[in-house]
Amino acid sequence: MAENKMGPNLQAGAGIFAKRVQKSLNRAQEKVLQKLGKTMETKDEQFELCSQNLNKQQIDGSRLFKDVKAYYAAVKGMHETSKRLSQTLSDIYESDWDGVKDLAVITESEDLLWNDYEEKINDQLVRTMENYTSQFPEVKERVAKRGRKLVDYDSARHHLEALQGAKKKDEAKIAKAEEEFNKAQNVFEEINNELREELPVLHQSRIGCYVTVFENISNLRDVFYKEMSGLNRELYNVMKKLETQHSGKAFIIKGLNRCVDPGSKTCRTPALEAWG
Amino acid sequence: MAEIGKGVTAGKLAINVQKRLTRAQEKVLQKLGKADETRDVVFEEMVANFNKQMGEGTKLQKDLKAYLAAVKTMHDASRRLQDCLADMYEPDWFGKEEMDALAEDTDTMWLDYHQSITDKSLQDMDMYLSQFPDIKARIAKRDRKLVDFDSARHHFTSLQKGKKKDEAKIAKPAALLEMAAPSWAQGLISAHQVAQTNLSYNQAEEDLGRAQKIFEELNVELQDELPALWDRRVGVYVNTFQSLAGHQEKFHKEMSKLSENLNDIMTKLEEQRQIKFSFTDFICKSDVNEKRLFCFLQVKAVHDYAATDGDELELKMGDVVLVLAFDNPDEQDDGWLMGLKESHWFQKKDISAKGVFPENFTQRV
Repeated sequence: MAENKMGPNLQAGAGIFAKRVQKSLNRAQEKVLQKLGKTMETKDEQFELCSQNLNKQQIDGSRLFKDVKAYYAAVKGMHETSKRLSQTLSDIYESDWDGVKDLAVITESEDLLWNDYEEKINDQLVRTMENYTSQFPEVKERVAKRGRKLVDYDSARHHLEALQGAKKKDEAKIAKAEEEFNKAQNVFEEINNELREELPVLHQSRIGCYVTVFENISNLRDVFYKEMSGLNRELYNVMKKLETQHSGKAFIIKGLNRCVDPGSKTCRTPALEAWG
Repeated sequence: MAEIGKGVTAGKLAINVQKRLTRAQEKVLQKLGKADETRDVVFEEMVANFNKQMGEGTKLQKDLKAYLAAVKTMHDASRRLQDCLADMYEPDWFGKEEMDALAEDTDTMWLDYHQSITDKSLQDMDMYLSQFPDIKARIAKRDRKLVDFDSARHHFTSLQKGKKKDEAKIAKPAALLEMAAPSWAQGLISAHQVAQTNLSYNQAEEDLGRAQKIFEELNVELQDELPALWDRRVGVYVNTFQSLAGHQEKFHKEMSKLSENLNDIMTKLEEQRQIKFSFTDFICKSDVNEKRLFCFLQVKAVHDYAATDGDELELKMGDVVLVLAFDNPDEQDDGWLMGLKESHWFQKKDISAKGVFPENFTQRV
């Protein structure tokens, strides 16, 4: 009975004291949990902003991707129609006209230039946008997962709160609930912290992407237009040579010009003597 | 009145039907080898050239139209891209106004280009081609008139050959008739017969003459025009492609300049971002005190400022300054800001060289 040195009153008192301590501990924990709940609410609002930014960024990115693809298609269209014109000119160009060989070279060069332009657009613009937009589905999935883990965390918290606030406390249950709460908290915090670091960086990266795309396109255009204008000038000169070669003929297009070349076929009627 | 009208139309209809029947008949005879066909190989070559020329022109017109459609599409796609960038642009980013002006200029350039080609090359081509259907119709008419001519010729020839035969044919029965006829009618019948044959003979001769005249008129015209038209095609092609190449050259040169401008703006924007980024990065990594200083603002000096105190910042016009918050807000005097020169930041990568400077000597960037 050495252990029972305390009198029955003291023993009872110790019990009450212990209970009181436990109670205030629980209440403190309750308060902490409640405060945590509030903080989480605020933090979640901030995250909501991040999430909205993410969605807008994805929509903007998709739009730019679509427009880049349309641009690429339009360039191909220009190439094709331009090529057809060149082909028609080559077809009607007679072998004894001035500049036949030059024309062939120019046509070939133009084609190469267009092909190069198209290829670079595909590499530098279309692929870039493809890579940029492809990262969003995965991130959105993780945001959704965070949402689910948050719900788990919240419910674990409420469960624990409820157990602690009960009139009759079941210590075993509380201990288990605490364990689950801690686990849920860890899981949530992990994914939450990851995203909190990544999302702002991702959001900032949109500027870099756009700047890259438009720097690239302006560079490509610059080079293409410069070279193409050179080829245009060459074709112009070939046409000038052709004009000089045929300068004997009349060039009036409007209306009919009755130009009878002296020395060429004059008016003839078919011989009245038919043959056959 | 209505009856007369009907009569006239009916008459005309009848004539046309007759014409077609005669021509068809003649053609059949020719095909069967029973009648010879007047052929002019030289003319046929001219017609072949004509058709070739018309084909070439039509193809060119088609290609030009397709090209113009592609130009329009390109313009639209280009503008959509530009809009993406404009929507993304924030007001404090470098070059917002230049960007908007650039977008306008680019738009105008595309429209002018499309317009020039439509006005010059396409319209000229349309006008050139518009003369072909008429000539084609006249060639066909000449063909018909040639058939008419041949038909009249054959008719006349057969009459000539048959005249003697006819005369022999009529002679016997006519002679019999004559013998049976009363004395006052003697000679009249044969005279009448002769007159009849002479009449159709003369008629045929007249018809032949007319057909020949009509045909030759058309033929001569066309023999003049077709070679000339064929020769003119070179000029048309030269004009078309020279004009096109000229406009393209101009357009591409100007667009190249605009592209350079866009590139410049993007480069400067990138630089601006780099500064912000490196600065942000530094601030994020530095300790709490320095974090509080960060303010995310840039200004440019519009006037020189000579520092009159150790803690003041020396400014030369054009210097870019990164603005910081004061350590102690009470320290801040009205109209003074704390900052760090961008050049110092690049050199030292720390904010030790920060100082105060008068706000009104600078302008927000």
